[in-house]
Amino acid sequence: MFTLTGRDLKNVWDQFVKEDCEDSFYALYKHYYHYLSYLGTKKKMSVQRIQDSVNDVFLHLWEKKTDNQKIRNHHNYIITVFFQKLFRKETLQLTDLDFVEEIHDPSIHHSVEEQHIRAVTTNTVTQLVEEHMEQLGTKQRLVIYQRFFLDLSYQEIADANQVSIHTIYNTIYKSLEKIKNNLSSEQEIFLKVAIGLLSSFLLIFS
Amino acid sequence: MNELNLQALLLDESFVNYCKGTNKEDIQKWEKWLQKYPEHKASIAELQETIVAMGHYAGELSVQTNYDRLQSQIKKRANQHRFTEIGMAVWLKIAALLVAVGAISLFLFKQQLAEEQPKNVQHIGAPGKDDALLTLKDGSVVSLADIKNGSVVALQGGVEIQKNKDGELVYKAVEQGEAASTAVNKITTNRGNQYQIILPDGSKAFLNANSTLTYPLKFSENERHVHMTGEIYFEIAKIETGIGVGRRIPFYVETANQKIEVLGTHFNVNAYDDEPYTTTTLLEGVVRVSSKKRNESVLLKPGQRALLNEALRVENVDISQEVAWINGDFVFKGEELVSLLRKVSRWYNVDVACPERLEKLKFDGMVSRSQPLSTIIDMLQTTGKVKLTLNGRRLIVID
Repeated sequence: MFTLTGRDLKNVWDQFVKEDCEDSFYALYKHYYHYLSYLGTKKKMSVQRIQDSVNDVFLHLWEKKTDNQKIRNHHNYIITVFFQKLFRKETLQLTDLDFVEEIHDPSIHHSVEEQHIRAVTTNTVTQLVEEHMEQLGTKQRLVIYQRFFLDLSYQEIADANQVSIHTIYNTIYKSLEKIKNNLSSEQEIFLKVAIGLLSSFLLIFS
Repeated sequence: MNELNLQALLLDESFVNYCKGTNKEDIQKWEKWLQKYPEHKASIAELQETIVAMGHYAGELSVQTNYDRLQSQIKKRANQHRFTEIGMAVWLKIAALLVAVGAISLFLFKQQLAEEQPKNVQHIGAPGKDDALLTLKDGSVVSLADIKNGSVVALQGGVEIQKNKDGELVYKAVEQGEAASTAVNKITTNRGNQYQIILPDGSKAFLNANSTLTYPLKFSENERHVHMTGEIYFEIAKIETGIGVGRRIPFYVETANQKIEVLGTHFNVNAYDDEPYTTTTLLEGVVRVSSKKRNESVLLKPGQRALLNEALRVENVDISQEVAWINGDFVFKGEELVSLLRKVSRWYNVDVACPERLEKLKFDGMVSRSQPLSTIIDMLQTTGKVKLTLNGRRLIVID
C-alpha cells in the first residue's frame, strides 16, 4: 500500500529539504497521505478532519522550509505534527499515543499492489475499473479507498463515516457488481466478434 | 458451488486480505480452497485483479484531489504573506512615511469632515449593492460606483465605455476597425457587490459577488472568448459571420477547470474556488461544457446542469433555485448549511465559522437579497436547529 520504504523515503525527504524540490514534496505527500489516512481512521476521526490535518501538516512543511533541516527523524516529526493537528493539541507527543509500533514501521502495510497494477495495466479489467472509478461519487470512492486500499475493516469504515456497516458493504458490492457485469458483457462481445470472424473465415474457405 | 457468490466473498474479510496479499494465513487458506475448486481459478483471478485495481485508482484519485486542494492553500497563503515578508528596515521607512502622510491627511480630513459623510462604508450585515472595479487596457482601475449613470467611463481604441441610465456598463464601437482584439478589460466585483455589463458583441453578463470577467475590447471575427471566476449569468447574443446565412460565431467561456462553448443562449456559471463543483446551468439553447484536465465534454439541454470536479456529470435541476440570485433572491431547497453560508458570506461580506457536525443540516426558505443579514439569521434560528451570533464581520454558528 505504501509505495516508499525506509531508505527511499529518507532520500526523498533529504531531496525535499536540501533542494526544495516539488516532485519530492509530492512523493512525500502521496506516501504520507495514505499512511496518515490509515492512522487517522484507526483513531476513529472523521475523513474531513483527517484530510484537513494531512494538508495542514504539509502546508506547515512547505512554509517552514529552513526549519526542516533541523528535523532529525522526519517520520516521527510528520506523525507527531499530524496528531497535534488531528487532536488540536499543540503539546501532544508520540509517547501519548498507544500504537507506537505502527508509527515506527510504515512498511508493514506494504503490499504487492503497485507491481501488480504495473503488470496488468493494458488489461481490460484495469481499464474498465479506471473508467468506473472516475464516474463514482466522492463518497463511494472514499469507501472503496478505505476498504481496498487502506485495508480497513468494514466496521472501521462504518465508524469513520458514521453510517451502518450495511451501507458500506452495499456501496462496495454495487460497484464491484457493476464492473463485473460490464466485464462479462465486454467478454461476450469479444466472443461474438471472434465467432463471427471464424465463421466468415470458414465461409470463404469452404 | 457452481456460480461464485460475490456477496459472500466480499463479506469474508479473509478473501479481501487474500486478494490484497496482506495476510499470510488468508493467502494459504484461499490457495487451498482453489486447489479444491480449480474451476473457479479464472473468476477468482479476475475478481482479485478488479479489487486491487479499484483500490489503486480510488487511492490515486483521493491523493490527487487533496493535493490539488493543498496547492491552492499554498497559493492563497503565499499571497497573504507577501506583505509580511518585506524586511523590517523597509517597514520602518514605510511607517515613518505613513506617519507623515497620516498627519497631513488628518489635518485636511478634519477640515472636510464637517461637510461630508463617508459614503462608501458598508455597514456590517447590510445587503450587497451594485458596484465593481473596471480594469482598462492600460491597467488603470475605475471604481464604477463613483461614476454617474449616463456618463462615459472611458474611450479606448475606438470603443466607448459608458455607464447607461440603468447603471449597466455598455461597450459601443464608435470608430470602425480600430480596436485591437488583444487588448482586454477586466471587471471585478468584491464580496458584497454585483454588477451587470453589456459586452462589445451585445451579450449580457451579470456578475455575482466576488467574481471577475476578462474580455477583449473587440471580439475577433471568428470566435468570442472570455475568462471568468466566481459566478456569472450570461445571455449570449447570436451573431453570424457575413450577412444572412453566415456561420454562427461561437462564444467561449473559460474558467480555471472548464471551457463552455455556446452559440447564443442563456446560462449561469458558478466557478467559485470554495465550491465543491464548477456548476453550469442552462436556461435556454444549447451549450457544450468541456473539462480542461481531461478530454471529456457534455452537451447540456435547458433545465440541466453540468457538475465538474474530477469528472464531469449532468443532472436535471430546479432552475428557479439555481438562478434565483439573478432575480434578487436567495432560494434554498434542502440546501446544506455549509453551502448556504458560503452564499451568505459572499453577499454580506462576512466570514463564517460553522462546526463540522452542523455543516450537513438542511434548510428550506426564500428571502430577498435586499434584506439585511439579520433577516437570514432570524430565519435560520426560528427553525430551532441552530443559533448564530454576529461578532464584527464574523458570523458564528452554534448549536
